[in-house]
Amino acid sequence: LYDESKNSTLERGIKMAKAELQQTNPKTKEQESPLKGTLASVFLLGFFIIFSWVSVYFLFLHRL
Amino acid sequence: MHMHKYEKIWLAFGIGCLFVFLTVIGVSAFAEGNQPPSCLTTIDPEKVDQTPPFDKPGLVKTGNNEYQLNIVVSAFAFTPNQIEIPKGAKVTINVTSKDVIHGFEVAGTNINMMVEPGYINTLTKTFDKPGEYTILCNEYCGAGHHMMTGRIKVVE
Repeated sequence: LYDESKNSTLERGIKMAKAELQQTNPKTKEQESPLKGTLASVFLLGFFIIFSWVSVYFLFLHRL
Repeated sequence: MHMHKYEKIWLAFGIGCLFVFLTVIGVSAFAEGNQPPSCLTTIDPEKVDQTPPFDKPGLVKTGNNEYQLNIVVSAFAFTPNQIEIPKGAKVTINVTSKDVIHGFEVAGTNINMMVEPGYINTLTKTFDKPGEYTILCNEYCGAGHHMMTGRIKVVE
């Protein structure tokens, strides 16, 4: 006997698997992740360290 | 190897900073002749009391407006611990320890040394501002560490 519901489930499964394959395939998209926030936060930290160093150095010069 | 443009920017910035800091240290050491206060001048720590200039510690006039201040540090005292310096005097401070590692800091100035037994620390400072300065030990040296103080008076 032909079970229509079973067949359609199988077809749907194949379709989903195909879609999944297509989504994971292009790896190039992951490499071009936006690093703008990373750059901004790392520069913020860098400038803070430089500011601390320079202020201590000027304190030293002031007391010479 | 693929590298993100921002990563290149950050690496260039970091390496640039490294060179700036190395240049600052290099100019300070080789062009201006700055060196650590303890620069390989040694003394027998058991014979400090017999070795000049520490056999007579205190302020000594060495020239026109130039002085030498010799201080012996031991547990738990600076000898001498009350010093009067005329304003504008250029003072070369020599410090050594008789026993353990001590600190020699004059609060509010750049005078700050780690005094190790066996070594003589030397630092030159011009006292331009009149007032009272506290000498303190900032290396934990034992039970009486917090009692170690001295006073420098810069007078007109």
